[in-house]
Amino acid sequence: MMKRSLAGACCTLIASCMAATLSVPVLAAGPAAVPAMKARLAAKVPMTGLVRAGDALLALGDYGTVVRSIDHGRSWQQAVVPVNTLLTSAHFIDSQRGWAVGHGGTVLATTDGGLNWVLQQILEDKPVLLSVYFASADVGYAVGAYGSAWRTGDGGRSWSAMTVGEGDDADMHLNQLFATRDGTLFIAAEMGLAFRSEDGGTRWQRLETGVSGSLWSGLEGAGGEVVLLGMSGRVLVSQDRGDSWQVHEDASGQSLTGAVQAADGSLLVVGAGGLVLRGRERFTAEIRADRQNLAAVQRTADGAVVVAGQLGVERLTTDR
Amino acid sequence: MIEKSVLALQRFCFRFRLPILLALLAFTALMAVFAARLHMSAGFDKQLPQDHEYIQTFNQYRDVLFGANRIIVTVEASKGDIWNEKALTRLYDVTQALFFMKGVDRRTVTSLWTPNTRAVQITEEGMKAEDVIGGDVTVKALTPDNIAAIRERTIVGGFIGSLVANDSSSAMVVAELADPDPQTGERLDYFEFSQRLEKELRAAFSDEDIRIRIIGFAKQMGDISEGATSVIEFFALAFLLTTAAVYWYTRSWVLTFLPLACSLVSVVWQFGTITLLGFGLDPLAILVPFLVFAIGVSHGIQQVNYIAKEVINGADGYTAASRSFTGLLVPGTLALITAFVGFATLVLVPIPMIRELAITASVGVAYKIVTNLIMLPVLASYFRFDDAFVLRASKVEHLRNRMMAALGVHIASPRNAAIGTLVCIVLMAVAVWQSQGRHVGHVLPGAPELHDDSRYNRDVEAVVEHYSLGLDLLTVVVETPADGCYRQDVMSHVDRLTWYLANVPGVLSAQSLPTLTKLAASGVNEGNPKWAALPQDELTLGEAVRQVPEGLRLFNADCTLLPVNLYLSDHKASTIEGVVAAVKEFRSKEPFDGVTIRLASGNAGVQAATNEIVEHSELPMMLYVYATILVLVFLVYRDWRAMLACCVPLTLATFLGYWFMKELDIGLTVATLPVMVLAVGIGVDYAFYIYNRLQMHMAHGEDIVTAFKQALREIGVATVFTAVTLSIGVATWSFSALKFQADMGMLLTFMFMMNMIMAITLLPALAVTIDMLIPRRGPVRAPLMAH
Repeated sequence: MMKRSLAGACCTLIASCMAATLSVPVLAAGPAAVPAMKARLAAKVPMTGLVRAGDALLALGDYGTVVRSIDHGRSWQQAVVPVNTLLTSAHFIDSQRGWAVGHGGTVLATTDGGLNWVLQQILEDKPVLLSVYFASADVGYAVGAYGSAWRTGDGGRSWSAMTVGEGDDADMHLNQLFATRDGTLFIAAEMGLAFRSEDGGTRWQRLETGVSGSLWSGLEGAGGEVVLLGMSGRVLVSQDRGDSWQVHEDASGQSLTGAVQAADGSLLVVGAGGLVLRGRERFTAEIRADRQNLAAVQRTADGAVVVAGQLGVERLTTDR
Repeated sequence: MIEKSVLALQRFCFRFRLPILLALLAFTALMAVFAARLHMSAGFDKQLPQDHEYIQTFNQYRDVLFGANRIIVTVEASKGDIWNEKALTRLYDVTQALFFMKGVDRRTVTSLWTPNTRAVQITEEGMKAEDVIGGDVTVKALTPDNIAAIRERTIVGGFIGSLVANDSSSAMVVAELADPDPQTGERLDYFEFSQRLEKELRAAFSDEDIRIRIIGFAKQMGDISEGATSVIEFFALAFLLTTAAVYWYTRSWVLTFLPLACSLVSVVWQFGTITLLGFGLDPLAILVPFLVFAIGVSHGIQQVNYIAKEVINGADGYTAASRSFTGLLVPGTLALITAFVGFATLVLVPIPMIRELAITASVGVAYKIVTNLIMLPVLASYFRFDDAFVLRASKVEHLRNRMMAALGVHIASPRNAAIGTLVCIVLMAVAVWQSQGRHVGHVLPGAPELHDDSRYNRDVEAVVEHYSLGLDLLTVVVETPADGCYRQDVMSHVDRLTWYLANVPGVLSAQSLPTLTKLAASGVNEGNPKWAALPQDELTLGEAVRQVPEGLRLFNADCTLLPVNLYLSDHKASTIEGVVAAVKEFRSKEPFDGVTIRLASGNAGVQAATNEIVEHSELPMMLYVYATILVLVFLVYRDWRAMLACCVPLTLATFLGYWFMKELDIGLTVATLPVMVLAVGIGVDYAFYIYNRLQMHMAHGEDIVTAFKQALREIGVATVFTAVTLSIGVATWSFSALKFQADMGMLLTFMFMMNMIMAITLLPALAVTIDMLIPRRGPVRAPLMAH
């Protein structure tokens, strides 16, 4: 026992030293947490997200699992993570520096491309965090359940609460926060809600999406269009940065969880029940034989597609 | 001293031969009354080491954990799939039939047709659950359209791989048994239930298009009991074969009758004693009466051999019988004591069935001293032998003597003996090497008690192949403080344990309350995968926990029990050991206050316990038996050469037996552990007989080569014949419907024959070589047990 806490202290110490030199601030004395265990089947854990760090690809999910691939999704190496909770989202500002969030108000940071993570913060009241985005090495955002929204100006060292929705909208789940290339922030939220901020999160404007089902994620397309995805197989596309939306509804009715854009501007969307949609305004639907709930999709540096979900992470060999 | 008491006993017995025989007859009649009350008992529990940590866990929770009382019936389409009117109708009929069967807990009957089979779809409005086959669809109203809809809902509901085969070739009805009956409190009779399953389900619903498969613990037990009823036929067959063999040997019906009758008498006594001790006869221990019978016959052969030789030399029946009595009482008793000790050491194995077997076998062998060494010669004294028999017997005797003399010349010549010894050393090395990595426990899939091509195991194979179900279940029992399932820290710990174990090689899947609660948590949050975590607060956690069906048995009423169910790729000992080690490692590495992680239930857990006991018992058992033999040999011969010459061939035979087990995929189990111990205890008899004669002739001043030739001539045929008789008794078991009986039969036959061959070839070769290498200094002592 003595030995373990000593080792823990050393780790924290080393982590802080490393962090100091690489200028990612962390908690001086990390809160007690059970680290993720090294697992043979780490790449088969239920996954929630996929993120690129330069040419490397990372997937994250349950039991504090982060796996990293440097061969475009063919093989995976488990990262060292100090927590055991479900991780939900990660974002990198370059090939080395990134952040990840998860349940229990967990905020993690890495400075080595995601191989080693340190516990940077446990946010107040341990909210369920669902999305993280960093605009720079200093400025970042984290959002989550029941309207929980946070902002940092010091690379994650300290966070302050931010108000997004008001009135009835105030305690809605904020499912994903993303930015367009011009720095506008968008949030996809519960019950068809979406928000936009043009001043770095100080003021948020509610957008009229015209749908009632929860929106789970979004992205900016190559042509500057904003895309939101959500329940009932809906793909919402706005050519005017969120003022008006064009709604496509897939017949399967499955919830859509993530999308990635091909070079030709077409989308590849994944969702629950093994649903995979491909297209631009019109989509062709494919239902995977395993029917697993897919949670995320990413394109690798070599142009292949990797999906992640209930059954882990998988490189699609036959895909475009 | 000994000689005097033997003579006194002989005089006493032959003087009061009539009262003694009448008393024995009366005792036999009394025991026969008890023997008639002997019943068969399947005795699953008796196979388990009751004091073992895992078995205590198993016993404590067997009624609340998953799987023990589950019965699975599949309706399989011979061609194509089940998505047609006929197959779905048949599935409905089977569901109904199972529902109304006595002994089935109706609430638990589940198939596509039951209302508890619902497809949950998550929409914006919330979770929408609909019956896979709605109330509006009846068997008569099945159309291609609504069959297609049923199929889609089956897929959406996630029932492919659970209620419907992965390739849709069959569909399943699952039910739990009400055992004990909640109204009457009676335990379910598995044998009778299994027969009803055959009649009311398999026979009633099978035809050329539809095949019915039935698996589950109750069916397995039923089939084992059914297999065990073939006992009578085997006994009859063994008896006939033995009779024929004994007649061939003695050429006299009287001399055939004597050993068989006396051996049967001791079996009657043994059965009576078993009943009096309150034991039943279970499929595993049933081998023992056979063995005891066979041992009786083989010792009886020694008696009739002796008597015949005396008669041929001119004695009358009475004199021949009394000489046989005196001549064989001491050696016979010693040989039986060796067997007795061999059996009795098995009492030390903490598995009730082996203990029972040890007791009944020791009792049986002890009775042999009375029936074969006293009763047989006393009874024989009433018979007369005519000249025709003498003529017939002496002719046969002459022929056999010539054969054995020829064999003796070849084996005992110093050159051949040296070669024999060399072969022995090489063979020993090969056998030791080849027997490495012998299996412990059961190796092949399915019910280990039954053959792999038995109907039950073929059904198991088909279900395993077509469904995403593991049938090798190891349950880790986690005891928590009250309401443990509403505590995030406790649940999180169990979740971590589950994930830790899911990563152990050989674990196909791991299921526990937290893993399903996380899915439920995602479900109540619109199915969003980012919500698949254990909620922090008690209320939300409770809400998610309540979504998990009770029928999965992943928690008990007061939430103090959170089992982790591990489905393994197989039930090989190495696989189970890996999992057990992982559980122990987690337990010591990550202790959690108030949470106790206990091993282990499920069929694999139970097997883990048995494997541990069997594996740890084998070596001590063998050492005890060998120590006994060494002590006895030393007492009788006072000669280290004898100890070496008797035990080296025995050891070689044992290792050959291990090699045989490995080659035939016979694992070390509750059934085969006693076999190896018994085989050594009985196998040494041959060495006794041969070495005894050898020593006697050498004591008379003959050189070892001549001594051996004489020994072989005198008792070579008897020894070979004894082994053959013993083998016949057990070899019939190779055809048993129960795999472990077949394994026991094959192994025992192999061991008897091997020990016999070793005794007439290797033992003399070794004795000769030892005498060549290290010449004796003093004269050879006469053996204590003079034939």
